[in-house]
Amino acid sequence: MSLQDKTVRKVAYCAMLAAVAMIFSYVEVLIPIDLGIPGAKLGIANLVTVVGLYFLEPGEVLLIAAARIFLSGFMFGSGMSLVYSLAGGAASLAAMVLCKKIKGLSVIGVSMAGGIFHNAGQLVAAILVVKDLRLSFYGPVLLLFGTLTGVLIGIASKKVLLVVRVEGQKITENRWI
Amino acid sequence: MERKDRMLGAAAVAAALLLMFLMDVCSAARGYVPADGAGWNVRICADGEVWGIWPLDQDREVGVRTEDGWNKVCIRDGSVYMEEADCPDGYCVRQGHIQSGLDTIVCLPHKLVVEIVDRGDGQQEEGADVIAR
Repeated sequence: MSLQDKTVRKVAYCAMLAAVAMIFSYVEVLIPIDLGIPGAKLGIANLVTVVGLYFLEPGEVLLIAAARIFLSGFMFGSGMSLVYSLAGGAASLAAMVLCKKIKGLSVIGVSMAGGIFHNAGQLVAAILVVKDLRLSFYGPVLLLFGTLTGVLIGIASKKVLLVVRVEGQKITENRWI
Repeated sequence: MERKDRMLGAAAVAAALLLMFLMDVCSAARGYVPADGAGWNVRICADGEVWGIWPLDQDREVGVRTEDGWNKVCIRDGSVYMEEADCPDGYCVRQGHIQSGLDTIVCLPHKLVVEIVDRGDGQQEEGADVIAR
């Protein structure tokens, strides 16, 4: 495969993942799962970030995540929601990139760290916006919840990655790209 | 799931439970809030500044208008709840009643925090825009 083919392929992957992430964000807006905790969501769009980390470079995943956050923030967000999404997304991506380097941690562990740090980032942003440290009392609940959603997204990512790897192999062998 | 995944999960859950326990201990250490709320105040902070303080044992409705929006806080029978708000998500209203020393109602879009504090924590202050009952 020439260098040009590789670039084309990466651009296509990034665009595809960004589109899927947008749709996931939209699905979550359509079907909100209300758990009584402000901002607690399943975060299906993070599935794309987790999956992306396993076959793209961290910089490319950052681009996909940023595109998704800004586009869905402007399209479906309200008020300050973009700020919280950015804080959560940045903390979560940084944590996942670092955790992926740890040997013995699978997709599920990496995704768990992502979930936890996503909530931590959002909580810190909320404390800064409201200027009230008492918001940190939501920390334990959010920690528990981030772990749970992280595991769920991790399990889903594992299933997706299996399929993506097999199909990716087929595509390369048949020289469809 | 690998062994390290389980370790990470267990550590996170353990930390969360420990923090919850510590918060309960802290709440108990700050003193018990009686059912009628006597001796405790409701403090409303907007954008990090104290907006007003009212006794928890006197029923009243407080309208809070800031540049971010409008909220109606109700103090009734020793507990506090957000009755109405024009914020986009409505989480503050759905949060329901609070009546213990560490509980808060937060309206994130309006940067509003309603909390129950010890009467010693703040002097009695009559805030503006009180809807008399």
